[in-house]
Amino acid sequence: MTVDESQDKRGLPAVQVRAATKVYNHGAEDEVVALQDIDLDVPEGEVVALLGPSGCGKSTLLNMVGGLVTTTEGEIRVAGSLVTDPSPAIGMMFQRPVLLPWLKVIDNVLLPLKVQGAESEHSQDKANSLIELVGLAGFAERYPSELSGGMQQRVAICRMLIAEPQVLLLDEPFGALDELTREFMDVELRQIITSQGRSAILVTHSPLEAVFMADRVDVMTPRPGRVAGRVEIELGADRSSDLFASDELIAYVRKVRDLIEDAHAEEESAGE
Amino acid sequence: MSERTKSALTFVVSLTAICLVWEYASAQEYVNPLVLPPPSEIGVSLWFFAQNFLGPAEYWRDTWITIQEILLGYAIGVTSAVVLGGLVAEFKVVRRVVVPYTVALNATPKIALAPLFIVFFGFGITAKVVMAAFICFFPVMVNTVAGLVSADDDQMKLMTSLRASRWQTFRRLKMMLALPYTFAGMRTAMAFAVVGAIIGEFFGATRGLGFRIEFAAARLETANLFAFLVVLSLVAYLLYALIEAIERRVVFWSGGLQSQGKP
Ligand SMILES: Nc1ncnc2c1ncn2[C@@H]1O[C@H](COP(=O)(O)OP(=O)(O)OP(=O)(O)O)[C@@H](O)[C@H]1O
Ligand SMILES: [Mg+2]
Repeated sequence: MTVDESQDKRGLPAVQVRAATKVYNHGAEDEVVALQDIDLDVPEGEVVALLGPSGCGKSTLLNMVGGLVTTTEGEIRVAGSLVTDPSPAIGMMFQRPVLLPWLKVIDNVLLPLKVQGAESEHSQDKANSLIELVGLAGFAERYPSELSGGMQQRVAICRMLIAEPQVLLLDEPFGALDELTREFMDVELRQIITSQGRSAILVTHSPLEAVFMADRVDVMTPRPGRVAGRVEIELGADRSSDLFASDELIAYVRKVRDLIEDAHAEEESAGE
Repeated sequence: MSERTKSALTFVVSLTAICLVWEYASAQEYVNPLVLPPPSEIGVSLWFFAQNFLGPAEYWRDTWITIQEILLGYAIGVTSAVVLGGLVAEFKVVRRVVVPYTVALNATPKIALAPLFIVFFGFGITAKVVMAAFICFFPVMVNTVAGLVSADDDQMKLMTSLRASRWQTFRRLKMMLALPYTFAGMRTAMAFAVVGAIIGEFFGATRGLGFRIEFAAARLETANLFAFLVVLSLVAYLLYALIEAIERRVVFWSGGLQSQGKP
């Protein structure tokens, strides 16, 4: 790779979605236009939150970026390269931890490397330091069934990070947790993302979580799914739990809520 | 007193009570002792069995032959069921070819095929092994397939996102998901294998516990018949307990599933 090329790529957003459309069961009678003409950029090192009602295509968009679902029209680039298949540049987290119950915590964390045959002598150390980073020191040799839901989601965080992906795709990662645990996990994950310089797309149903976690919140509307509005969140890169109670954050949350309501009202009137 | 000791104690008490009532009923000739011998006579027969285990009648040979039939049949049945189950779950072509036959055969009462196997394989051990293998096959196969296709969307999405090959997904996810199912099938199959071997012996044998039971029945030696039944039950119980113990070690993460399939 020449110096020029690498500099070229440095300016690029981590994720670029251009006029992406997704039609499920294309051409069939039961075809569903899940997404229409979506444009979305995630700048390098930033977190973009997707907020919107159920069925507006948030998971579809995330799966398209992750290469799990094909794009009907338009194109998606991750770190400059066109997405066709799942890419090593991407790490994913789902609403459920999806740990394998027959593997110890450490082996669950190492799974991505094992699957790729990419385990090295440092892998164990790396996994252990990730496990420590999420506050699970001493649990490496336990089985998932011995862990609480929140602890299991932490293991899923480690598994997502072990192969050092540049872009994280988070589909309601803490949606199944209680509110207090969720806020706690938000703080932790945001700190990890910032300190490791990752980029991320976060899908959530909570405006509060969206504002806390993201540098930009995109509000989506359904049928067909599209982005109805965006709010830039300027709360700095380092975010601690104090922020949850701050006036600035509350103001942003109100702004996002207004945007959701406007989008909803527009949709209602369009539907009449 | 622990739950276990309580259960054991209750069992001993109830068994003693049943035996006493039974003994009394026999002594009063409420029942014909030829039809239902008193427990004391069965006890004598069991003692006779014990003496003859290594002694003149060499009952150990009968016991050993039946155990061999069961275990050989079991091994063959389980192995072929797991292999075919894997192929059926992974390859559509195999599924299309095999499934209609398995559905039809599973609906057949498999014991009804015993005379056919005797015709095919004669009066030796082979017919019994085949019968046991045949009857073992279905619960293991049906359960293995059910387990192999039990991966949910999230689990498949995880493997795809990790860029796992088909083989990796099979080995690291599907196979492990199937293990508890396969073991549930193997538990049932163990009970079935005993049935298969004994039925095979009923239709023609010169040795084996099933043969001894039939022989005793034909000569109206009911007490002996009961004694052989007790020994057979003990063998079946020990084999079942062995499989259960292996299951607990291998699929430690699962609580033990219920099995599908019928004899
Ligand atoms: N595999 C599929 N086949 C057909 N239609 C699908 C499929 N997956 C999703 N859809 C449809 O696409 C639309 C968007 O679904 P998607 O799961 O992306 O929504 P979502 O915004 O993630 O919803 P939620 O908030 O409930 O998770 C829905 O109308 C859904 O019914
Ligand atoms: Mg979703």
